Amino acid sequence: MAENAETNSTAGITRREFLYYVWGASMAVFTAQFAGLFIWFALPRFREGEFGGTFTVPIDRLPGVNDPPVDVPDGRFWLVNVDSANPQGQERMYRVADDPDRIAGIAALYKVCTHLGCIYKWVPTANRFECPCHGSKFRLDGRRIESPAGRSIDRFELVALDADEAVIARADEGRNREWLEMTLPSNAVALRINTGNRRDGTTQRLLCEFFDNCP
Amino acid sequence: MATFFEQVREMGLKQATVVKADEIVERVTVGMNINDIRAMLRGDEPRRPNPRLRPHADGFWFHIRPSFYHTEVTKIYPTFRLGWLSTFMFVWETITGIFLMIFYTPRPGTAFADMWNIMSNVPLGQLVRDMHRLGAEVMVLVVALHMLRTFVTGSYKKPRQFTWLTGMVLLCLTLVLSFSGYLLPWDQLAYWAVTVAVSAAEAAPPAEIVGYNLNLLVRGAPSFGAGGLLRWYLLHVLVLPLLLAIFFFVHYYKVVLYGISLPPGREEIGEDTAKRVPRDERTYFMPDIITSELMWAALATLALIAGSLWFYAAPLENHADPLVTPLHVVAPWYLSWSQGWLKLASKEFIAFVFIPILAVAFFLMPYIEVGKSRRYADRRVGLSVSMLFIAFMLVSNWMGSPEYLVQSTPEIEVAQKLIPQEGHSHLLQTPYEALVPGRYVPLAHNQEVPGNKELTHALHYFYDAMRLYSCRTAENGSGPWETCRERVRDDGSIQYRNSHTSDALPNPQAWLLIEQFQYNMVKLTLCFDVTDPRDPNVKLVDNDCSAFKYRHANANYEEY
Amino acid sequence: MQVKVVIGTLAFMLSMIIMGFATLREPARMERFTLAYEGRLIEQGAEVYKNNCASCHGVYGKAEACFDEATGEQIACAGIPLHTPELLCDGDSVPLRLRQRDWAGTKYGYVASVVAAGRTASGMPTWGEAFGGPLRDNQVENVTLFVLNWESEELCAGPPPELYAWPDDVEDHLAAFPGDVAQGEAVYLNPTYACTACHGQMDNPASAAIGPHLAQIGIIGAERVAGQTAEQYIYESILYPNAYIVPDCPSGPCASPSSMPGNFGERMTPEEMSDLVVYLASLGR
Repeated sequence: MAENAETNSTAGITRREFLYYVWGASMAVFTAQFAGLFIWFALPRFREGEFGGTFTVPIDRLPGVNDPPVDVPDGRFWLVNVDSANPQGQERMYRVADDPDRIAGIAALYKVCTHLGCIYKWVPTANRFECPCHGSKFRLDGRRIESPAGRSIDRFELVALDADEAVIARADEGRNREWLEMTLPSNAVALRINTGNRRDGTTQRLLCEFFDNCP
Repeated sequence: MATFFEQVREMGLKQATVVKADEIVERVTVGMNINDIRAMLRGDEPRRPNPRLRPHADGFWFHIRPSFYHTEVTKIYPTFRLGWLSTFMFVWETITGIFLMIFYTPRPGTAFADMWNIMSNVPLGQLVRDMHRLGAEVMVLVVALHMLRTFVTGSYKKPRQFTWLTGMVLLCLTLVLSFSGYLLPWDQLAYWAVTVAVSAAEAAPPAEIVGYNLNLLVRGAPSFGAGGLLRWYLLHVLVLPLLLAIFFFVHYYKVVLYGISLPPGREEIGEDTAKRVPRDERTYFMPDIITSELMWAALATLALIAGSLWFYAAPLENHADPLVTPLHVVAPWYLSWSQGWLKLASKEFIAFVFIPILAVAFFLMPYIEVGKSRRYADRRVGLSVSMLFIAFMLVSNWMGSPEYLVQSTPEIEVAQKLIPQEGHSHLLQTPYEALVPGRYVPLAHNQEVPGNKELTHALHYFYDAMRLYSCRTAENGSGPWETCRERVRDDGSIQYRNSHTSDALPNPQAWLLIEQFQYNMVKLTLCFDVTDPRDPNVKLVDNDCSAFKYRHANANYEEY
Repeated sequence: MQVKVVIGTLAFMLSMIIMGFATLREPARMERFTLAYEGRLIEQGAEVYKNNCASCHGVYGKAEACFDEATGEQIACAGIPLHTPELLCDGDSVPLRLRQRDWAGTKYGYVASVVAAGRTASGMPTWGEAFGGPLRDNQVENVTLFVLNWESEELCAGPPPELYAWPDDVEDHLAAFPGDVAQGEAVYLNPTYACTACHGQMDNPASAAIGPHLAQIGIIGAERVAGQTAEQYIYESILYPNAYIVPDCPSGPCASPSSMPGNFGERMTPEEMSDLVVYLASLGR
């Protein structure tokens, strides 16, 4: 084997050999194009109203400020309307020491718990989200009250539309690329929630630590 | 064999890497190292022992391919590469079929919607579907041509009789594969073409026991529905491909065992020297045959892609309706001959006598036709019979089309040309903007609708259709039609004939109404009115406006 | 041999170029085909409508121009208008008819569910296969898309339709919409409202099978409720059947809550109400 390897490096490439290499390269590029096109072909696309696609919700479906969340089952999200500075609804939405001065706006919370994937519920008597699997609890805006969830509720991209279906506002990104609450413009007619664009929630201290009642 | 690290210490990293790579190449190719490959690509003589034979001797992928061919059979003639092309088409169909399976569920409630999803919401979906359907039709044609070639060159003769038999099985499997796929789109064409073709099953004698149960097995219910679709899907994607693969391997093994037969003129009569190839008439698989095959694969791929994109569009009619059979239901072209025969004889005879006898004759032909010579001059009878048979099949195919023996009344035939229940027409393909509401009569080719070329074209077509089914009576006739030939029937009524049909409309009035029905949809209505030439108070067709179709602005009949 | 290599290379390269070309035009093509699919479904829906719905809802969906399927003669339309802003125009986000029916979902869901399940109370047959009707699911979908396609800029150009606010006092209503007795008889006989189905023909007391016979209602009506004129009584009886339950009906005590449909207020035009009230009030006098 070794002798063959040595004689290999001394001979030059003939034209015929070179043409084969060019052909080989063209086959490699063809295969690469084929693979790329196959992925484009096979990636599922979602129409409006299918989970994975966008959902358009008229603003009259939004909850009142600090009211219990509105369920959008097809989209697998809750619509929440929070304002930590509003005295009404403080049992559901309240501010703790390390929250920003004011948390206000609309958000679309993914219904899947950030712990291990169960669907958490809104518990009216407790005024919070609670997950039946391992007991994670969340505030109206999705921040963790109790673990074992590792981060606050994930959110979907949210934009506001006017009567001509033009985008007039979008949710901003926070420091960790999470979706922040969006202020609703006065001329908004509908919201469009993109369930194909989900961002993780943040990891902040558990709220129960502020009230010294962590289990 | 020293380990990699020992080699590095011995000869340095670069050299050790080259040596290692060389070893890997030799293991992967089962016997050819980098130098051997380069020598092969350059066209040098191989070293001894010949490394290019080792992949065939020891490797899995090449063990069934011959290590060399007789040079005489490597050119286009005598094989035309049709056997190779048949295999290529099977691989092509398998790959495109798997791609389609990603997006299709065999369920009557969703299958049709899945087809439109593939064509409108999956990137390159229409292309993949067209490639699959075009490939299916090409495969049927190629397999049939391969059979014809094998017959003509007498390559079915001893010792290759069994190869022919397995090949016939493969032909039948190909036909059933193509046919089973036909049902899957679950549109009117699919549903009714397959219903008609399978209807023979019910007649299997004795009909009450065998026929009834055979029908249930085949359709999963008395008529096609969820059960039938699932069964044919199972056949199409699993059972038939598996059977085809098995028989293919038997067939190909035999092909390699006996070798591809030489052109008839090259051998003595009764001899078979295919396996005794003199050294100077060998073409080695590596590199010559593999180069050839790769080139043909590239060309076939190119042809199929270009054909699917530009010259072919797999049809999709409306959703299957088990309660409504559209006019002019046709079998796929490769089965049209059976429809032709069914117009001449009963389905029991055709399905259970004629076709089985034909099939047995074909399967066993090499065991019956045992003449020793393969030369064309010695086989004039056989070759003539085969040409006659082909002509017979072509005529049978034509007889299967609606033009033969399937005719409704003339106004329905004209309506079917202009606004067919399913499928396309010139009128439908007229762009929506040209369908201006109004009342229009057929226009001769020197007339036009001012400022509306497309609608004019459609009205010319209306005129041409009317000409086929109209005539002008000798007395008091009107209209730009040819003169009627009248014949009095036994019951006293008059039969009007022209050169195209024996049932023509005398002096007809016909017009097209276009009405704006919704803001983006028009309604097209065809009306006919025919007064009895013998009695102006009697109408043969009385303001019949029953032929209509709605045409939506976005329906895109121009493109699809 | 080298020629084959070159041909092979060119073939692969050409294939790549062709695939690239197909890729570039693909998004626009998919868009056209998406629209084409919906367009063709609407065409199919138009046929379903013509064959099944036009004889009650009208050829153009306006509850006018209804023709008997068998004879071709014109008949009264038994169905309600579909080609109207009430059903199709979103004005301030929910069409009027959906609000009237307390429908919380989409227009599509409303039309599809009514088509599929029917409304036995008002005579709308069950059409969907899932509920025992003759239409397959895809046919229900098609006809729903067709009906919804009657929505257009032109249809919804005017001010959004509002439910007519029936005044409490019938005199206020009659002042705005004077009634005509002859027209009122036609309203009574109109199969759309089907008064005769329960209250029978005026000249045949025995034909009143469910509701009280009304041939003397112009007199009796004034005596039913203290302080109400016959007109006021009749007016309230039609709008709010449960406001006063008559003690005796042809088949025994009258049912409570009333068997009389409670949605005439949504279905009748102000003119029809006036005509009917003055007609009934004239009976017996």
